Amino acid sequence: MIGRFDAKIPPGPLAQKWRNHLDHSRLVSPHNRRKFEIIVVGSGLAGGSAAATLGELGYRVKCFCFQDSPRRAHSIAAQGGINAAKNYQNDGDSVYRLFYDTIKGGDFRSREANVYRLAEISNNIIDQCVAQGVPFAREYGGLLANRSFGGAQVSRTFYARGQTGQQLLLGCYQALCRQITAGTVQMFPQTEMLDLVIVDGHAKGIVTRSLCSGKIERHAADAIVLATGGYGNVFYLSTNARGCNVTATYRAYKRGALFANPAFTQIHPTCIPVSGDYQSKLTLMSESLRNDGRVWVPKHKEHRDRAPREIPETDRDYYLERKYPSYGNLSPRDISSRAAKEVCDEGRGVGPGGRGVYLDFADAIKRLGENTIRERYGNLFEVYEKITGEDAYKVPMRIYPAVHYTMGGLWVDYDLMSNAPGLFVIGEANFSDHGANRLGASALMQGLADGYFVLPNTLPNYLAGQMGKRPSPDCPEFRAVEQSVCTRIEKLLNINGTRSVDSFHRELGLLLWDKCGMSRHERGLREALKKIPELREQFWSRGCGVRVPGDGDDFNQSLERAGRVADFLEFAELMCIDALERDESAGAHFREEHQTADGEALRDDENHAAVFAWEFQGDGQPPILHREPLNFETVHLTQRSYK
Amino acid sequence: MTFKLRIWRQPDAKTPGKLVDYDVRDISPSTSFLEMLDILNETLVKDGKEPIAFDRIAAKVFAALARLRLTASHTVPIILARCVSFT
Repeated sequence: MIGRFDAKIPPGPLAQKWRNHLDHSRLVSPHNRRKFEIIVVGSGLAGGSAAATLGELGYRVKCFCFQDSPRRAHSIAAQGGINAAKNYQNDGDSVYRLFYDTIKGGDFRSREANVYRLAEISNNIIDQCVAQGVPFAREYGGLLANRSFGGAQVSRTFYARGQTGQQLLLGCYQALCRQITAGTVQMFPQTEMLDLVIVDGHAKGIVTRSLCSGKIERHAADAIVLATGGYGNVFYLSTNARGCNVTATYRAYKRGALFANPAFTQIHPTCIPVSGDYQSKLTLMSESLRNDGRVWVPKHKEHRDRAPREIPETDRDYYLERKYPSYGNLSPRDISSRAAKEVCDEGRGVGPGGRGVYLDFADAIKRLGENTIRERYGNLFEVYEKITGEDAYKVPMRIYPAVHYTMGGLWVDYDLMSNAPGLFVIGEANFSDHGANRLGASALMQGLADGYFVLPNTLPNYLAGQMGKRPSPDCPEFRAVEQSVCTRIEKLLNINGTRSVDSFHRELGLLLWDKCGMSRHERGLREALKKIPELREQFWSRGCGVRVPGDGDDFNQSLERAGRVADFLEFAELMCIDALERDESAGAHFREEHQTADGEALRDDENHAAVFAWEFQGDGQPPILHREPLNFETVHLTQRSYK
Repeated sequence: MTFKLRIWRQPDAKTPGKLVDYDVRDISPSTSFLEMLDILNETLVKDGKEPIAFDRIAAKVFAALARLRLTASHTVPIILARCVSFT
């Protein structure tokens, strides 16, 4: 293994760890910063904020994204809001409460120190964004408004209607553009990272491909930051943008970075149900809707095809309110998703195929008026109507769980550095803060915390020892990686099979949804582990596998997708191995063999209160598991209950 | 439903392109415009032909301009550039 597997959690009381760490970390003086070059891959909330902040601090930054503009990062699609412990509502919130809600929400499978820091920094994020001009919702008197999200009994979520991600990204993008104009950040849009370069055991560069011209290039730097998002698209159907992929982080894994908890994948309970065999992606309906919407299905199977308004109240099962009285419709995502699956499996699901539950706003509209609901969620109701043709002001929304977020990612220490020295990983691309289940409105919080406040303070700790050590992109290590990238591209183009890339992706996605989706079982996981290599072999079979038309020296969307799906076909195996090895239920990872009498996740703290970090051993070789025990100094582990 | 699509095909930025007609059959009403293009591409790949490259946002704009209503057979003049440059 390259580097060290050491979380480097600072000593001292939890509430002082971050401050102490800042006080004792090494720095890079202002006149030396311009001597360092930093590569940031990904320009969503995490990457964009990191690149902008590092540029403002005086470093020279190269920022890469495969989209044609940083504004098209998938962060833009986030809807509901961003958490912070401001306690503006005066309802008992605090940094500690946000920390505790997040740790508990993650089913006690995340590091206390990282999560506490996240809660501490949350307030700074709001101040930063307000200063940028992000148009958060405000109350009549002008103060910032809040709403609630799942897994919390306070209102701590700041929002901009149902487009919070877009507004935060535009704030971040304008900061980034300022640095691009100032000359501190060089932007490389439509450029995809295809591999990582390690020199003398340190991450010192990347190899990229231009999506327009096909040109392969080597880029050297003093440190590499991956902010490349999550791997939800391994399931093919997810709420992610079509282009989202695991390539950058998976390639880093193959170069020696540990991949942690890949089985922790989040299913979001409120998405528009699948409506056809050729559906290409799923649409999220923000969790914020559950502030006012009530989730229900008919009590009786025979009523499921009736129009919802014809089902009397007494025949409706508001199952979240029934099962979890304390949190009701705002129960955390993993619990809500499994509850939806349960009622549909019982035959009480609504809509085509019986794969849907109602999210009903009738009571809220009666109580608050349609105008208030429109102000809070207007654009979300429009999206829903555009896709389904149904007016959710008049009939309940139909929703069903869908893959949405991935808590797993590259392993990082307290500085957000991988075991591979010089490789930093931020945002959804790392594993660090959400444990086995992410609470709503925490993704935006983590992305911006990492990018604006954590990385700019921890990166100098590494850089201080790297002065003058940036290699040339012409050195043998770079050339070797470039050669391997070119060889792989040639191989993909020469398979000349008969099936499209999407057909393999779809088949993989269905297999994973079935065997490693909302619930898992040893038998199903072993079956998946048998079928995935077979599918992968088919993909690469000359003459009958995938067909990638065109060539590599030009704009070629089939080639782009083929490379990503090839990585998914390997990564899927790692995910199932992790799911099998973690022989417990925790958060979103639900092993049917391990559940309480009430059907809730049953953890095994004695054996599995740990981060599972996997080390690549070579193609066709089983990875090695490294366990990082999770030591809880402050919280007391309990059976997670939202009843 | 059957759609007749007329699509601009251009191998690269330097080679001249032309409009090509395609029939896309058995499209269900719940299929989106972009998914229809995906279905067309599946057929093209199976037939050993080059799939259509398109930018999803641009295609959505064209669909809105064409004011598509998925109710009958339509001939939809759509111009999609294979090589799209973004500024």
